[in-house]
Amino acid sequence: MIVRVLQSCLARRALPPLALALALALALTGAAPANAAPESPITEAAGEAMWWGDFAALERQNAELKRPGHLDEDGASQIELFRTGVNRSLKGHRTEGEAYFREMDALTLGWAQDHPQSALAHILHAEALLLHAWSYRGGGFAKDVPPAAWKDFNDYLRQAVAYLGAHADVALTDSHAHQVLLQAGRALGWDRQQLDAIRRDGLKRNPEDVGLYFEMLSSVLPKWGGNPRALDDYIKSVVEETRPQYGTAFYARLYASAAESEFGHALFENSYADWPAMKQAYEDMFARYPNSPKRRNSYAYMACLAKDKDTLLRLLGEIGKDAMAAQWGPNGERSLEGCRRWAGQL
Amino acid sequence: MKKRRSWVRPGLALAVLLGLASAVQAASAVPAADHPEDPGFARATEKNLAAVFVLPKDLAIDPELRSAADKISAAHLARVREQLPGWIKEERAIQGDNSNTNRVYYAVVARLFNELALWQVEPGEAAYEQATLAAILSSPSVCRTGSNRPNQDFARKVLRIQAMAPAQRQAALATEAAQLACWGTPRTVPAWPALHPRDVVKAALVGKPAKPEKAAGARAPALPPLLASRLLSDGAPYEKLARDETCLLQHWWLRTSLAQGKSREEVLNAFRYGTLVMASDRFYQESDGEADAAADNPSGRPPYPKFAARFDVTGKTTVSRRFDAQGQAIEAGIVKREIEVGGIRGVRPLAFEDALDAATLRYALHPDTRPQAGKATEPLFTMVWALDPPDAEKPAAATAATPVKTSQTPKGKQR
Repeated sequence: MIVRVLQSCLARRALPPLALALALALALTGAAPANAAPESPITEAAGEAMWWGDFAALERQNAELKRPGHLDEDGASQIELFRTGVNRSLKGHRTEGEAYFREMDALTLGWAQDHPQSALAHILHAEALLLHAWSYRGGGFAKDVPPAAWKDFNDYLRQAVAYLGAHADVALTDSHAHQVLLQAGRALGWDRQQLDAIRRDGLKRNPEDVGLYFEMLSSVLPKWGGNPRALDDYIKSVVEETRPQYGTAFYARLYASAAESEFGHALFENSYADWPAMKQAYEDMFARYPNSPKRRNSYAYMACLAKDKDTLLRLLGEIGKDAMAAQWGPNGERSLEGCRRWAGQL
Repeated sequence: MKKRRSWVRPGLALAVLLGLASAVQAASAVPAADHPEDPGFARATEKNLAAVFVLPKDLAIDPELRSAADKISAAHLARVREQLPGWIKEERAIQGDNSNTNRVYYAVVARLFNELALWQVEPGEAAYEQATLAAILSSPSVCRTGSNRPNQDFARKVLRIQAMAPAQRQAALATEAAQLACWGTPRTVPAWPALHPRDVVKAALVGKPAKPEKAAGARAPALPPLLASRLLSDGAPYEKLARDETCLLQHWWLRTSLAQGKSREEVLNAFRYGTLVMASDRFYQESDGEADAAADNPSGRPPYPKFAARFDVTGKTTVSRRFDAQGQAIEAGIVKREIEVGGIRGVRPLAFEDALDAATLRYALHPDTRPQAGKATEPLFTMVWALDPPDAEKPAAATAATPVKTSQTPKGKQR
């Protein structure tokens, strides 16, 4: 099924630069979204292994973490933490040039040729091509992208998809491949049904790969051609899918991510986010994963956005000195300070 | 810029710790065997050596292996503690009753530096060699000490042992212990590879970054992200790489060489030489380099490298040169060295074998050393490096650093 989707997607033309220009660039998974865990030992180990070119270590870590039951104590997916580290190092620790990305393409292709039965090796090659594509595009506004860069951007995106298509029998056994496909497909302008089919196929491979829910979320954000209604529908559908294991937690997790990626302080004005539902979702989350200072900070931030002073004050009291500015939006320190002032704490 | 830190700096550490500089004058009058500074020098030297054998706390080593390694280092340091007074006496006996204390101490330190170098390139028995190569191949993390200090010799060896199969670790530890027990005894080690591993790797990097249209097979294998970033994005030259990075680059080349069909013995030897810490790395002093540069006189004899003079490094270096149409040397490489170092006897002065290289090459490439008009441009050029006999009344370093007192003979033998 997924191969058919790929073939169909490859046959389509990519969105023209003008259409893409309407959307803001979305940083790949290397740029930590709001819901990403703070640097964990898993991320660090994966990042180091990638940075040093230790494929055997990456293969071991991936094999272990994609097995069931690898969730952090706050419910975060450990395989996501692994991928964050890998992506960060593959992308480079500085603004890398063309020679670097060409080298990464060759390195990962070599790994795939040496380990043809390794899904991870194939996926890393596709990811390298994807990062190469984004190196042309950059993470800024579309208006700032040189016209000639769009061709390279789209060429490399298509190469990544074509590569995964050619090695689908091996690569798609690991849901990491589906995440890469969602990233490429979104940038190439695939329609939502196709992307959702990829997401569902990935979740069949690994039901605990919650990163796929977040990857798909980006595709329904207004800046990527979605709209608030589609976003709300999507989030509600995910809540139903995940209810047995997570209760309604994904309502909060996904809307918090949407706030981070697009809506910011206007979440409750410009989307269909419902504060009572979100509050209940956080409570569900804490019932299952009580030990999460990060999520408590996120909850407090959302309470501030929702103008729920009582909840905010209660949470600020619980947080005490453990405030984590990274969970309070892009300008976290000031945002936290503003919320405290509004709540009368300052 | 790469930060270089010395393992031991007699010029600083010894002078500061022992008050050596001011003590030298008085010391020369004391009978050699009873010199009062010797015990203090031995203690300070052992302390400096101990830094090589203490595994950093944050180095990820299994507790069991760490404990076994610690026992080996403790035994080795105890042995060196016993050996050092003998080495000092031996040196004083060779230099005579009027021995210059500073020269004696430099000679002992040179011997220690050399033992460290020999130990780095010394192969073990067949099983050890096989396990070592497999360990290196298993993961580039064997290069990751997290430190740029030149005293990570033991840490690197223990990292390699950790990468071995558990059943092989015990035997490998026994080999390490046996090799350490050989310090101070005459022994041979494998020769340098035909081409310096540094130059081989540099040549392999010339094709990078590859042109997009070039076929993948026509270039050297891809670099890991760390090296790609440093070499291709930063444009860092080989000499500016940190020690772990150099090790990783040699690791990359080891895999490549094996894939190209080189023998296991050959690639392992190249890896060892490619990651070898030379005495000049352990004893780096910014002031030496500055003094060498300041004393460089294009039209006259090249200055004797301060580092080489300090450690009484003498001998011959033979250079191969390539010339352009105007007779100017455009490429030079050392093809032969006959080096002697005060304090090193019965073994190759491995740690110092490059001590005269830079000065030789600088001289060989200088426009003033081109053959005279009408004469053939012979590719080989030999330089003879000799120091004045030591002056017992003056510290050796000061003697060597004084151009008037330094007599080096760059004989341009065309042969």
